[in-house]
Order: sequence, then structure tokens, then C-alpha cells
Amino acid sequence: MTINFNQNYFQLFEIKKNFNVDINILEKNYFELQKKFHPDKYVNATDHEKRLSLQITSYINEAYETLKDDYLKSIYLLKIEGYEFDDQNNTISDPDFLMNQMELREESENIALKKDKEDIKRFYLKLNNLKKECLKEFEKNYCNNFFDEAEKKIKEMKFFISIENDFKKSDL
Amino acid sequence: MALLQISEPGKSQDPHKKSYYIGIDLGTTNSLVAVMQNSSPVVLKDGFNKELFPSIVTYRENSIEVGENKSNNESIVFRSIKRFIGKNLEDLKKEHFYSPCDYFEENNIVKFKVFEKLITPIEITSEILKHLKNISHETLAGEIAGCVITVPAYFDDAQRQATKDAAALSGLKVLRLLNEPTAAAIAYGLQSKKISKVMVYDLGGGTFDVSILDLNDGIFKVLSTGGDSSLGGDDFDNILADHIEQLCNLNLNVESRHRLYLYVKEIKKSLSDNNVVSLNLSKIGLKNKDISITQKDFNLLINDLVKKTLKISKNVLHDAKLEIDEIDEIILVGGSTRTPYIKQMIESYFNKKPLSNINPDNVVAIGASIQADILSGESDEELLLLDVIPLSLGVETMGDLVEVIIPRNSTIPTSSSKEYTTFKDGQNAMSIHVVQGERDLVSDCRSLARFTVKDIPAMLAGSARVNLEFQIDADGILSVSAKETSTNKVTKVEVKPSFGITDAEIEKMLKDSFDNAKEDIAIRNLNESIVEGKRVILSINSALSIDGKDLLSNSEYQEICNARDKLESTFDSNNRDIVIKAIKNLENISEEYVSRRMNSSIEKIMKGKDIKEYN
Repeated sequence: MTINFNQNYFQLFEIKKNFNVDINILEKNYFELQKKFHPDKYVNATDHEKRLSLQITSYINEAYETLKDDYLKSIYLLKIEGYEFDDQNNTISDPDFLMNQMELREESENIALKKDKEDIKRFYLKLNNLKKECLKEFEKNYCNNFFDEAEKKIKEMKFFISIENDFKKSDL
Repeated sequence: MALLQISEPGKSQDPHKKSYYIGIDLGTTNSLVAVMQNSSPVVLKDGFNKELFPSIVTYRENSIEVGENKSNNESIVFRSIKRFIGKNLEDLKKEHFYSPCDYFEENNIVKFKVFEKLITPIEITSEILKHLKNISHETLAGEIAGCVITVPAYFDDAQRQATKDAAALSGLKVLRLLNEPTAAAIAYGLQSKKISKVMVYDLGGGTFDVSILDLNDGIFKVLSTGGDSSLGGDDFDNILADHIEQLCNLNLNVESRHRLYLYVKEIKKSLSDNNVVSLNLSKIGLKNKDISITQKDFNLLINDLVKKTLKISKNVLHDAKLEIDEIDEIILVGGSTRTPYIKQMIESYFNKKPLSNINPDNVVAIGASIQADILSGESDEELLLLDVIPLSLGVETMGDLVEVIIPRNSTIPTSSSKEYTTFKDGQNAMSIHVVQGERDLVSDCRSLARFTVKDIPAMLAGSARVNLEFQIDADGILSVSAKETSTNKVTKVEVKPSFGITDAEIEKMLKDSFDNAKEDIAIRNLNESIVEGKRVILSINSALSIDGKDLLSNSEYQEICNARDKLESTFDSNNRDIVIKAIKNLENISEEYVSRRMNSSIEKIMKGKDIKEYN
């Protein structure tokens, strides 16, 4: 039982390194790998094999969840290109964007206070569209090797996701 | 007298001693064990043909007993111990719990004072598991090679770890912990469906759990879970008992009330099959009255409680962000779901006929046995359960805040690493606090463990790099390792679980239990030889009274009596060997007497009969 931990996630699942991932092929190969390495297949194995199976499936799970999620996948694509996304230092200096950011926060707080069902629905839709737009931009920049621009889009994404999460919490 | 076990000549006693993999439903009120035999699951029965084993542990001065407690004297009885496992006193304050003895908390573990000894919920649970293991061992006449134990989906790391610890203590090898609702879904074979959303409605004796599962091509995800830990069939019984007490104008003392309560359980059961049941109060020693209970009466009585369960179910569905019509299957679990009214209400509320063709008491154990069989590698079935962790794992950072390390619903096994650095010059240790929960503040989450990373090389503040790796295994249990990356030195992590027990403690308990087991065996052997001694005395006495004076001389008679008295005096010796020696002695001395008795009885039979009759 062995696996190459140094290959990237796309190589692991034998798919082309690309922003667009065919979810069906990803899932199919993910299940194949799980069937081979999952700890359930090694309950009577040696401690060494058990530990190996644990490490391998942890790696497979992390890879799968990264490629399944657009945001995580974007960060990962840049990482492969040598662009380490700095989680802590993600300030955006674009004044226009900062302005939008403040407005969106305010809007989210107002809607959360009023609890109007239609407004809530509309706001979710709006956030979704913003995220989609962001991803599209990311893909364009990434494909053209404009990695600085692409990274900026990830930061914007992160901001939308955080607004969405906070909004979900207040919506409960 | 001991029966001789005779095996066929030329064959060893166990030519192919088979090993079995069992599934255990470790319940709050009852526990069950099941095993796959000839590709179908079988729920095991004990010598009394029972398959539901009450999760009750009784401690006496010198013995421990699992099952329904028969006598109250000098005993401490633990019920519903599952409510205690993996919890500290603070958690227990929120639970409805009753302790049969004094208890206190030490290192975050609840300890009960049981006859001079301190016993943890883990040890009490291990007694139940030992009992189930013994039953399986006896019924199957084979070795128990491993087991799958079910736990509620909402069990956190501490509760899962504690359950595994209890199993280790009972000498069971755990192949996997399995979520109860997932086990129910496996019992119904739902894993073969490509995609479906399943609601599992589990109404037991004392608890109500509801879970929403997402089945996606072999991946079982628990989307949401909820319930009420003090709502169950016992409440139905109490309401019905109250009703009868009122109806018949009874004013019962505690004991009669308890008898009525037990009787009411029977009535409840027969109301599941009959429209009307007439009361027979004389059965429980009360004056009979011409009164009957209809199914309609009963439905009315339990209506509020049933509605409450439906409301909870709807909230759990809401948590999973699903609508009623998105549910593909509803599975009924727990004996209380036999009540026809509950089935009707669920069907009309969710607009779907619930699955209930598998005995709802057995369904979880059956699912566990199927999973055990698959894990053992002896089954041909391809099933892979990819579980998720139910709650996020995080680490305390500055200002009581939680930094999530592994988010909830991550498929397990999973790992995540984080790098931390030192705060002061020359700092050589670092303490890490791990919590579980979805809230932002540490104080709102459950404390799981505190780690101390030691032996960090002394460096300037901020230059040491400690890489902590959090690993969650397939059972959802956490382990941590640490490495100082600038020097690549593997640092020591001292794991101190906030709940549960350390490996060293488990080892000690295991050793204690072996020692106790030795003691137990010694006591049992002593008792057995005393019983045997008493039996010998009894038969000698009865023989002497019949023909002792006729067949024995005075001195012979006296000799036997002396040996008999001597044997009797050894019963207080507390020494098995002395008792056995005295038995042997009495048997030797009476040997001649025994043969004379045989001769004399043969003579009696033969006397006056023609020899031809014997040809």
C-alpha cells in the first residue's frame, strides 16, 4: 500500500490541471481510491498499515474537498503556481472594492434585522452572483497567467464568503 | 456434581473454533447484540430466550451483575449510564440524571463511590459490554474477534473515545464505531441507493433522537441531528398509569404504583394490536373494576408528546435545510415506534409511509452486525461508509476565540496542520486547548483536550516554528502530534483529555479488572466447593437417618459424624482447598458405608423374588 504524497491533487485523481473540474470523473476516481485505501479495508492489518491507510485517506479526503470547492480549488491552483495565498494578510487596498465592501456589510445587517423572507432570499441570490462573477474573473486571469490579478479575486471571494457565513448565523 | 464433557475420540475439542464479528447496539435503556450467520443478521438471545438486555449494572460488595436488578439489599444500581459517558459534572447538571451513590469529579471525570471503590462511567459501561461479549461467546460457541458498536450521531469526540475505552476495558476489539441512524439505514439496505435523503426517527424508552442522513453513492453524511434526551416510551407509561389511577380513583403507595406502572406496559403493548383492552387490576393485587382503555383514549393521552416529537423532527429537517417533500425515506427505530398512533402521525405529517418492517428494537443492532461482517472481510458485499465529523474542531486563540482547524461535515479520516510560534524569548513549552463546537467563543464550545507541547528548543520569540498536526481517524477520534520545524525536532505532546481517560489510566483499569477477575474466580470456586460440601452433608444425613444405625457400628457411626462436622466447620475457612480436602475425607470415611447400603438395597429388591424374574 503506497501512494505518492508529492503529486498534486489533479495528478492524484488523474484529471487535467484546470479550473474546470469534471465532478463526475472526480467523484468516480475518489471512490476508487477510497475503496482501495479506506481504514475499513484494513481493520485486521498491522498497525503500520493502519497508520498508512489513515494518512493516505486523509490526503485523499483533503484533495477531494479542495477540488470540489471552487474557493479552495482556486487557492490551490495558485499554490501550484508558486503563489502561496497568505491567509492572514489579505487586505484589499482597492478603494472601490472597500467602498462596496462596507455597503454590502451594512445591507446584510439591515436585512438580518428586518428578517423579511423575500429580502433574505434576494440577498443570498445577490451574494451568489457576486461570487460567480468573482470566479469567472479568477478563471480568466488564471488562464492568462495573471496570477496577481487572480489572487486579488480570491481575496474578494473570501470577503463574500465571510459575509455569507455571518449572514447565515444571524439568519438562524 | 460436575458433568463430564465428552468429545468424540480422536478429535480435538475445537477443531475449527470459529471467530465471529458482532454488532452491538449499546443503548440507554436496553442493549442488543447481533451477528451475521449464513448471510443474514441474527439477534442473539441469552439462556432465558431474551434478546433485549437492560443496560443496568448492579454493584454488590463482592460482585457485579448486569441486567434487571432483582433484589435491592446492599446494592448500588446504575441505570442509563450512557447519559454519563464522556461527560463532566457541569454537563450532567443539564441532564436529568439520578445517581444511586455519592459521586464527585476528578480530572474532569465523574467518579462514583461504590463500596470503598471509585468507579467511572467507562468501567460501568465496560461491564455491560463484557456481559454482551459473554452472551455472544456462549451462544456462538466461538471466539469474538471484533465488534462494531453503535453510538448516537451527536456523540462528540469525548463520548466516542469513552465508548472505545469501555470496549477496550471489556476486552473487545472495536472495528468501528457506527452512528446509530446510519446503522438503521444499513439494516434497510439503503446504501444501495444512488442518492437519497433519509430521516431516522428513534423513539426509545427514555430518549428521542432524530437524524437526517444524506446517502450519496456509499457516502453517509449526517446532515443534522436533534432530539430530547428525556422523552420516550416511559413517559407514555407514566401518563397511562396516571390516567388509570385517576379513572379508578386509586391512591397508591410507591410499591403499588410501581406494579401498576409495569402492568401498564403490558396494556400499552396490547393496545398496539387491539382497539380496546379491559383492565384486570386484580392482577396487580388491587380490587378489580369494570374499566377498559381504548386505543383512542391512549392516543389522546400521548397526543402532546407525539406532537412534540414531530415538531423536533421538523426543526432537525430545517437544520438540514430540507423541506418535507425532499425526504425520500423515513426509518422507525426504537420500541416506542410500535405504537400505531405514532406511525399514523408520522405518515400524515411527512406525507410518507415510514419503513418499519424490521423490528424497531433490533434494527440498529442488525445494521451494526452487517457492518461488522463487511469490515471483517468475510462478506462479499461492497459497502464503504464515508462518515463525517458532526462538530467542528478548533483551537483556542487569544481572547476566548475559536480558530476552526477541521470544519464540521469534513469527511473522515482527515488531518490538518497548523503552525504556531513562541510568544516569549526562550519559551520551551506551549499549551494548546482544543474545543469542539460551532460557536465563536471558547466558552460556548465543549472543551476536548489540553495539550502541552514540551521541549521546544530555546529561541527568540517568534522564531520557533511548532507544527501541530491534528488527525481524526475513521471513528471521529482526535490525536495530535507536534514538530518543531526550524530544527526538525519532534516535540513531545502531552495529551490530557478534558474527558475520558488517558492511556495509562486505561491500562491501570485493565490491570485492576484482571486482578478483580482473578479474585472473582477465586470467590466463585470457593462458593462452588461449599455448595458441593453442603450437598454431600445433606445426602450423608439423609442416609444416616434411614439406615445408619442398622448398617454401622457405634464407632463407625461416630467417625462419619465427626468427619461430617469437620467438613461443616471448614465452610468459614475461606479456603477452597481445606473445604475440598474435608469433602474428600468424608467421602473416604463413608466409602464402606456406601457400599454396604448398595448391597443392602440390592438384597431388599431381590428378597422374596424368584431368580427367574431377572433372567
